[in-house]
Amino acid sequence: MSDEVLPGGPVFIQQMPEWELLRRQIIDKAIYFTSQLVFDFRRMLTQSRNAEMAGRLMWLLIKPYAPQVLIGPGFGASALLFSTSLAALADGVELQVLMVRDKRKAHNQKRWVEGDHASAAGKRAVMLDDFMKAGSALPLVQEALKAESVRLDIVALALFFDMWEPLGSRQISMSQLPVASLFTRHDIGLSRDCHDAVPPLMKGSAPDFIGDTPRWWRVGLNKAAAYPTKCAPVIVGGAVFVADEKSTLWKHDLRTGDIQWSVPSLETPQKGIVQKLQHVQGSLVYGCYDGSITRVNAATGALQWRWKIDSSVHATPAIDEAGGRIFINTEQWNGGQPCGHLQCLDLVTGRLLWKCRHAWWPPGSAAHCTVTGIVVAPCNDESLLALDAGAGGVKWCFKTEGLVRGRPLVKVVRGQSRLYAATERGRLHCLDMVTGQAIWTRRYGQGLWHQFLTADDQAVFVMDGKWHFMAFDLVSGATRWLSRLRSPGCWQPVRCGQYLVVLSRQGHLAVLDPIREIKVWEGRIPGSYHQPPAIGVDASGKAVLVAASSSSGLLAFDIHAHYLSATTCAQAQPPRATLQCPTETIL
Amino acid sequence: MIPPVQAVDATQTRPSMASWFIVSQVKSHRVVYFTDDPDYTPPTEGDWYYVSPYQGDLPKGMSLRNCWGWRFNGMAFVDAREGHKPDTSQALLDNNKEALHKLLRDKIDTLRKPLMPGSAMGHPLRTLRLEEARAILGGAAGTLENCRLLPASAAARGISLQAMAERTVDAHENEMRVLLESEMLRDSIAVAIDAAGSQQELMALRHRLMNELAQQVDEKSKPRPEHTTPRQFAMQPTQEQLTQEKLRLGIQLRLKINAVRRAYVSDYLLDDMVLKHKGRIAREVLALNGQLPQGTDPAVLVSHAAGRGQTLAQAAAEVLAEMDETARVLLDTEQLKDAMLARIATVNTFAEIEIIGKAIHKLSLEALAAPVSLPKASVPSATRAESPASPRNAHTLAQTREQVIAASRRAGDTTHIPKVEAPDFEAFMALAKAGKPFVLRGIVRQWPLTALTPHTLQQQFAALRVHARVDDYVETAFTPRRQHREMSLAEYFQLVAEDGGTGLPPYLGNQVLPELTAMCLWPNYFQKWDKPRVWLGPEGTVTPLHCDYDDNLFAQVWGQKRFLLYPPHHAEFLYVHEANPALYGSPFDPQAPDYAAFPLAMQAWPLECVLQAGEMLFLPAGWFHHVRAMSFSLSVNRWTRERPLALSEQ
Repeated sequence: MSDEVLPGGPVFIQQMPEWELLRRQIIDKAIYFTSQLVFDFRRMLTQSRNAEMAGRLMWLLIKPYAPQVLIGPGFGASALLFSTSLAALADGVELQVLMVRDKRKAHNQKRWVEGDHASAAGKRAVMLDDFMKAGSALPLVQEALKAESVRLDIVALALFFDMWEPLGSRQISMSQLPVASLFTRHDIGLSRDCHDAVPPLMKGSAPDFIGDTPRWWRVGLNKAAAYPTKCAPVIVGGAVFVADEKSTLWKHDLRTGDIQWSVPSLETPQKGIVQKLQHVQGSLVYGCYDGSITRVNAATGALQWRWKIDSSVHATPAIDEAGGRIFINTEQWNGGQPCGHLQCLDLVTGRLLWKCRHAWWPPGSAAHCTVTGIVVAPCNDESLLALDAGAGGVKWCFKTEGLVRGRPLVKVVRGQSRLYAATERGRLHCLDMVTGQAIWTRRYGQGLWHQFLTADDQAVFVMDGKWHFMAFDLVSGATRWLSRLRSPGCWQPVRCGQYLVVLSRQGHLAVLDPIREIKVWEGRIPGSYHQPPAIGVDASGKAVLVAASSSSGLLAFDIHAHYLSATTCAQAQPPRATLQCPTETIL
Repeated sequence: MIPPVQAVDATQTRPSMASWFIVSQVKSHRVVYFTDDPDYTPPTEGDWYYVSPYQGDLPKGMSLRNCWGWRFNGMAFVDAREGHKPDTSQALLDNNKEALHKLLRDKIDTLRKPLMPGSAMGHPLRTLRLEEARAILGGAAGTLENCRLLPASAAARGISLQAMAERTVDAHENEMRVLLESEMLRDSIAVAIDAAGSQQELMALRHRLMNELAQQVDEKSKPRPEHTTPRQFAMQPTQEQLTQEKLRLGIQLRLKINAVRRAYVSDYLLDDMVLKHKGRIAREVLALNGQLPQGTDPAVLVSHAAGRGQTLAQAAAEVLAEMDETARVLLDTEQLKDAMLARIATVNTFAEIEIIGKAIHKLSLEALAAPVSLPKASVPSATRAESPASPRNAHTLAQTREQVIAASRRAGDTTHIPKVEAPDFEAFMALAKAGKPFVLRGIVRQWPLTALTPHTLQQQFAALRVHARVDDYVETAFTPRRQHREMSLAEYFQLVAEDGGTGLPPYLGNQVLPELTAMCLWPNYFQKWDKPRVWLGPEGTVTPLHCDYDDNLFAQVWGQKRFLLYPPHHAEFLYVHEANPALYGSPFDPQAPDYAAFPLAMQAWPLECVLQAGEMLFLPAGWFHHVRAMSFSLSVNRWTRERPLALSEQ
């Protein structure tokens, strides 16, 4: 067992319902998603209920230090100072409070440290603060006390939220004062390691999701680095389908990696097939950058139809299997005046049913709503265009804050069809599918270039362009939980039993449990990636993860049976959200 | 802030628009077929075409007969009938600049090479030697004690130290003078080459380089016969060549005769004297009926007989028979040697040299039994000419070639190819006698053949039998290995459409197709013509560098062709080889010059001529030409069977 101090406060405090309530309040109310994550605790701690709970927990945290004086810097600490002192008073201990201004007051008594200096002199004190990253508050307090000639015996530093920075609280705890933290960043998922990682290997209790050695590796699939995004593989019926950068579609045996057939495209454009292959009715449908869309028999590779429908195709088609239709965004160079088209094709014959021209080049992928019969096309003029899927009539158009380059998500929430779209400027829009009216819009951080949104029954999962994974409430847009990756995630998380698997650009794999809202495993596979992996089961019932690297080939890994076993879900701890708490404080 | 719902500017496909299916070639996106049949189902096999739905009006004027002239990208048509006209002049300019830079470097290096130290680390020694020389000449005190190199050099040359010092300083000054002058010259010419904006400017610089700087480079790079001179049997060797060849034949004869005689030569010293003595005794023994003669030492014959168990008479008979055989071989070979030497003395052509060489090679003892009969020297290639009286036999063609090259050299280099409007006979002859190519306009446009389009050609002459050049017909050009495939014209068009574009496209080159050439109206510039030849193929077809020793009129019916032309006297730079007496090929590719493999080609000077549809090129005999189709092309040419006009003044 390592002697290293692990992040987190006392366990008995963490098991209190107030701790969990405050944790959720931090996630939803104290974090702001800009190009970085920004914290502001004043908004939550100036609410009396939150301040009261925080005071009680902070008093439990600092009580072992037997303080006589509480001292804290600036406005951030003031709410904590008094809520903690009141909690102590309720516990029979009277504490004196000193408040340190950020700078000396310019008039009247011109004080820097407010409070009764004389009576505090020489007493045991604990310094409180709401947030610490680089640890600049402690020198400020020490400088102010020295300037005011107030001699205190500061015995500890207590933090409401500790970013657990090596040059911040870690250095202070090693060299100056004991540091007690009510919350650390790990408590809200901001850790690169899994939630229960322990040094030195930073492994948790969950078994390894995949082993170190691939089941098979087709090294020569992709090699060119000119255009990093390649085709995302798909696993169906014990086979892996993937297109290489030369626009040839391959079928591999999932168990052995043996190639069963290949179908070349007519041309080999630079970008090739840069989308997610769609499997429907025993066939594969895909567009190619040469402007063609093709349907081939998945069993034999026989061509069912191929049409060149525009000058190029980036987008992934949307399949309306019940209606026998395909919707796809295409691009037209148009002699230097580019435009886009949303095209509706017959699934059986590939013939054009209707098409609609829209502005500029449309790189986004269309989304279809079977409930409302509406198909939505992301357009490159930063708009979402909704059309009647049957005849192509325009229903509405919504101007987004940034370009939707990936694919929006259609979801029925409480009986209402909703459209969720993440833009490259870091906005997440929730629209009413029928009217196109915005239900809510929020920032999710630095925009991710190419994102296919996914969701479960509660939350829509979004990844930002830095390294964060977030779950936003489908109804309100509130942040439900978040996690940290090691590099920007690729397109979307992939389901594996109850888990979500996220592949990052530098090959890191994160396995997230959306029920417990934690990261349970963290690992890495060789290569760099711009496209998500595929997860499926081979003929012998073993789960396999297949990832197409941008330049290192196609890799298949066996997945540990733990992650697919039926008992895993049953044994899982109940989610923190089920703890008793007033709903009005969550939403 | 929730943004408002925006008005949309989306154009819906109107149901009232006409619906089409457009079939276009994958490689070029050119339209090959279209239909408004709503039940049209594209075939699933074949990888050379796209099928696209299209709603709207077709381009004005597009029909099934001419739809190849439009490109289609899934929505929009582009009129591509005029074709793309890439500007190749800059590439040519750059190639020639590179060649001139290389030539300049060679010349400068040649000038400076004699100034280089002869051995490693020579530079510091030279510096030291110069310092010593200057010290000696300056008369500095204590100089001699510090000098180590110059005294030794002076002693080795037997001159005074003062003279050695003067010589050293002079050599250094001369070296610096050459270096400075050559550097100034190199710099000025290099800048001028870079700044040159036209072929004419480069040509002037080339003349300056060739004539003013380091003539020895030209000597060094003069083509060696084995590089460039084809085996021209009928040619008269130069006197120097003849002397060398006679010397070589004499040596070859001596070696052969010696090889024949060697079996009769003893390896023992003075054995011929012993044999002569033994022969004299043998004759006496036989004259005495086997008795030993008196007064002569018969020991050599006695030992001969004893060693072989013979009587003296038997030994004497054997010795004399052996001597007679040796004498006969000597005499026979001597006669043969005389006859051969006499023949060698009279050889005049390479053919005779070749035949005598072969006869010497075949000499043997068996051959000596039969009288030696040399075949009459004849020209192998001349056997290809049907009649000696024919003016086109190999000999006359070789003579024509020499004359054409000489005339070209006299005429000098050419910098551009003029274009003239349909000249009359006199005007044409006046131009053509200069022996330089020019373009004629206004003739081909009158031909009925120009009314054909690729589509109508394909339809109306589908069954025409043709021979397509396939595979790598450039690599195998002018050899029997070139692959042809007989097919119909329709099959050829299919072959072109299916061509993957990875190698050379199939080419209908040099086809005799009277069905087509009957629609050509040739001007009356010549009386004797060969049959017209048809050249049909897509963009990228190539005829590698070669020349014909007949005047040629080349008509471009459709499309464009790029000619890279070299005058006949540049044959010495182009590594030519004889395919037949009237056709010489070159392995040098002016499109991708490989000066490492063909360094002499840097001295060859190409002219570019892009022949447009409706133009006709007069290509005089002996002009090397490399031809590449820049678009789908139909051309027809005709060689004359008259003496080249460039020689008409002779």
